[in-house]
Amino acid sequence: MLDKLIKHEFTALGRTLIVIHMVLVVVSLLTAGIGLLKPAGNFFSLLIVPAVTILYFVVVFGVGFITLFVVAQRFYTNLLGPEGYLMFTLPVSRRDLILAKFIPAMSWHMISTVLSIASVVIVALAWTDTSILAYQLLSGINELFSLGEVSTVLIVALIALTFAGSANYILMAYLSMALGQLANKGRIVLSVAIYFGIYMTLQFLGLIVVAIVALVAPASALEVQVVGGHAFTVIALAEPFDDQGLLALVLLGATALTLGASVAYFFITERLLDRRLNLL
Amino acid sequence: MTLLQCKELTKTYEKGSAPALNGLDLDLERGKIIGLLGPNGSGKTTLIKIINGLLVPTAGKVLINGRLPGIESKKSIAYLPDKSYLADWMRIAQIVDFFDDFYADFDQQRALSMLELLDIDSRQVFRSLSKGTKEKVQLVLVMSRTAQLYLLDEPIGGVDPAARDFILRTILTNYSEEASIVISTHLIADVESILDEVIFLDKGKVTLQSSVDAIRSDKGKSVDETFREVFAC
Repeated sequence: MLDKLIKHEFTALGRTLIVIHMVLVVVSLLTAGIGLLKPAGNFFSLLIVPAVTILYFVVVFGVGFITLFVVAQRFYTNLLGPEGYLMFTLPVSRRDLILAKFIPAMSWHMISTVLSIASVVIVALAWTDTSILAYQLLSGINELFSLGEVSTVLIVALIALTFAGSANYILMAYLSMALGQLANKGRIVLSVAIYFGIYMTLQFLGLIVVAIVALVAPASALEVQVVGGHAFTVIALAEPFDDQGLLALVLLGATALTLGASVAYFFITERLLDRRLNLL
Repeated sequence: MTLLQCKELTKTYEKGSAPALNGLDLDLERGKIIGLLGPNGSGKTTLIKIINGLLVPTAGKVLINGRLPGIESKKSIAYLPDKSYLADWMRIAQIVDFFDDFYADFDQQRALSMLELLDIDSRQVFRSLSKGTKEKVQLVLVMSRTAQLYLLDEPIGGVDPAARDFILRTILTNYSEEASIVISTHLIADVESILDEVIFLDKGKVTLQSSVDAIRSDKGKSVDETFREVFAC
């Protein structure tokens, strides 16, 4: 049954997300095309180029947020809205219902991430030497590769942390909505408040971890930075980057913590929908 | 075996508020069409949701074929809620496929035949249908299953009298002797002719469970008249 649920979920999500990602591709190609052609004249340099640049930034940064919003909205409308009357009376387990939401959501998040990175690289290359944008993008990439010989383990650790972070955001949204549905009124507002409540709490805990690491570790040898949007992507970066093994270990540790939190969110959500379902 | 048993079933939505179900006890046998009748707020929809596992009781339990609500009970219950509950962006044909994917007892051919009989084009998007047509489509889907227990919450509330006749005929012709149908409605006069048994609910408790024939012979009144008398304001 899980495969059938997933099939229907991909169809439902694809209705919106295919369009959004097509927009990303088209805007990226447009931006890259302008960078390659380098059209002359005030009309282009004063109007078209700034407009396309702004549009590009809005789209490339917005697509990830919109994807998260769409998968969260889909979870709410399909399970906790009127459609839940059908979904929760199907002869399938609650776990399958959540997994069937999570697997396509995660897949779309990966597609979104890969497309966004590819877009940034292509646009940066197309605009090389012609604008501040290209300079900034390329310097960012250069900085990454100035680490020298980047080990495979480090790259794998970075990718793992990125995906664990995505899973964490999605499952945190599911948990917030599963908690929000316990109320008889104002469920959406409550769900959003719970989401940001969990987010802020984890940020706070993350800062405490950072402070402890900063106190314990010799300040001259270790520069502590918060990378990413939530507490479990707290990464202690060795400065300079001369110990990639340590860095990979820290990244994998952060990944494990993030995955641990995600698994906890999943099972709490499942239990809430199993024991405390409150479809009005 | 009893098809449905409710034991001391209680549901309170908020602490301090009156319970929607208040220690309700109920046994339902197979092969009957049962009217679940009661005024607004008497607990009809709450009871049906608990049987379907959409709400969790505060106390007590419900057993379907001797089992608590779960995957097995959902295989044998066909449920029609009192609201539009299908994804409105889907075409009717897609929804029919969806039911066929998940319910082993769903008869796709029967569903398509009934839709054709009702002159409903299965290529239409669900959101484009009128309220009455949506209700007909939902009923067709539910009655195209060969379930053991049909729970129909206000199945004729939003449709015209002609459609009501169709719906009642559909109900009568699409259930077997092994199944029971529970119809929750305010429109008692419309459904009375097909009912075998009635359950009166008031303030979350069963106040009467009787065969329709017994009500008529003992009280000399129709179910509709009895209801009006019992629940007179």
